[in-house]
Amino acid sequence: MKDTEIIDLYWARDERAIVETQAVYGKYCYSIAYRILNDREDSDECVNDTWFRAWNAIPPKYPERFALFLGTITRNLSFDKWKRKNAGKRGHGQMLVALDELAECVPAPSGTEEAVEAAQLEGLINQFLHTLPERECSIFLRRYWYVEEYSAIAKRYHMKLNTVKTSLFRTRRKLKAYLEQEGIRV
Amino acid sequence: MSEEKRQGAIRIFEALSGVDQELLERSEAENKKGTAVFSFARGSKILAAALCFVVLGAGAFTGRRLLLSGGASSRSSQSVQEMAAFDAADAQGGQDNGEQSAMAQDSPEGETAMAQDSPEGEAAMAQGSITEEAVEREAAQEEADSEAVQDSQIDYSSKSSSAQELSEEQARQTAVLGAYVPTILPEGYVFDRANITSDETGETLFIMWINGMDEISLGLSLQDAENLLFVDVENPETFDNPVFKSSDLSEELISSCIKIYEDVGDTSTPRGSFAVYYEEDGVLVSFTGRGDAESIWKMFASIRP
Repeated sequence: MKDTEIIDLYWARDERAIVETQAVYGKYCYSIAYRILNDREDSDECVNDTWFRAWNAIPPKYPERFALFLGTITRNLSFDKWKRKNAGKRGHGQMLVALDELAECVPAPSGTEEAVEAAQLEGLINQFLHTLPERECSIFLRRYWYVEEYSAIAKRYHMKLNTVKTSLFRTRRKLKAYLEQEGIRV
Repeated sequence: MSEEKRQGAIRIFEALSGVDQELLERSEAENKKGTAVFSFARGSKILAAALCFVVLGAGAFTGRRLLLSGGASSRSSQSVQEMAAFDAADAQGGQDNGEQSAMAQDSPEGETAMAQDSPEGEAAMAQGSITEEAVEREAAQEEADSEAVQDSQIDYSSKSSSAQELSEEQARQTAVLGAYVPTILPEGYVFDRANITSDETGETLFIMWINGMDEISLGLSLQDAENLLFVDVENPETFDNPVFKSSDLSEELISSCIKIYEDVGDTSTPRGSFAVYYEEDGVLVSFTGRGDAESIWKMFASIRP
């Protein structure tokens, strides 16, 4: 079933919308959740919560990119669950490794930065991503939005593993420099 | 990781949820582009083989006709040509269907895309079992060659870099890399040229100075230390183009890399090449050029990022 047809089911408050969404996007959302949570039960729970959230959001929403709409909900739910489970602890899996890497992007404090609101940080990171070459931006997003492993990214883009690592290394440094230049405290 | 860094990382991760969806879509689209190129490469080999078969068949037909000038032989050769064209079309369709299956196995997104696309190859696949076997044999051969194909494609794409010419001052002002351009040069050297190139591996700053027929060039790039093989400082002369850590660099090490070569028509200035890795920023400075060890050491000693 096409996305427009599924969304029409939501608008018609036809519960087949959930069934069809599960059929088309169940694996997609599950893979996003599992890469973050590394737990089947938790991932299933987040996927089910995603359908619930989508049901409540549509209408009035009419997502233009349905897959990304759902994926974003799953990502947010999964990360919230991850934070609750790993508060103060060292967890495991790709999520922790990805966060360790993103920690390199946190600007070094110099005493003159301003604290930034979440929406402002979103905007700044969006601006930064638009400055990147296409491939570099895509690799960064596959790693830190989708939490894909290096090997999966290398396979996706037919690149060597070290090339992916180097690209991410450079982009993290660029992001750090960009945030420092903006004079913000993350 | 300190708690402050952890919280910062969490905030950055969360902020990525608001990234523009067209950027996310693009990260998906690149996979399909790559697959399409790969598919073309594989399909084109099959077509080339089929065309060779057609040419050989046509040659055989022409030769046989000259010898025998018989109607029966012309009919059989014509059917061979038709079969070759038929096989080529089937192979391409079958190949496309195989690519879609591979995409679906790779990722759920691929499976979704496959569900939404019309599988053009299915009708072609249904037309002949012999053609399917040929496609599968070809696909198996292509899998064995896939690493080389991908590498060649990677090489090709990496050559599609853009170079921007720079003045010496602009080179020094380049973010991160510019800080590692030496401020002291061996006597007599003047700036010749500089440029910065960008490709999928990142930026590389190139700068050259000349002194008559002698020249010094530096290539500066960001590198991950894990990708480098650092030389044994006890035996540096055993390496060609050695890589030193900046903390290990000394005039003695440089002298082990700089030698006089007796080439007819060339100057007698010592020359050599090596690289120095500055761990703080992950900058690799690759040196190729001429000069005595002392002046080259002073050049590197002047680097103060």
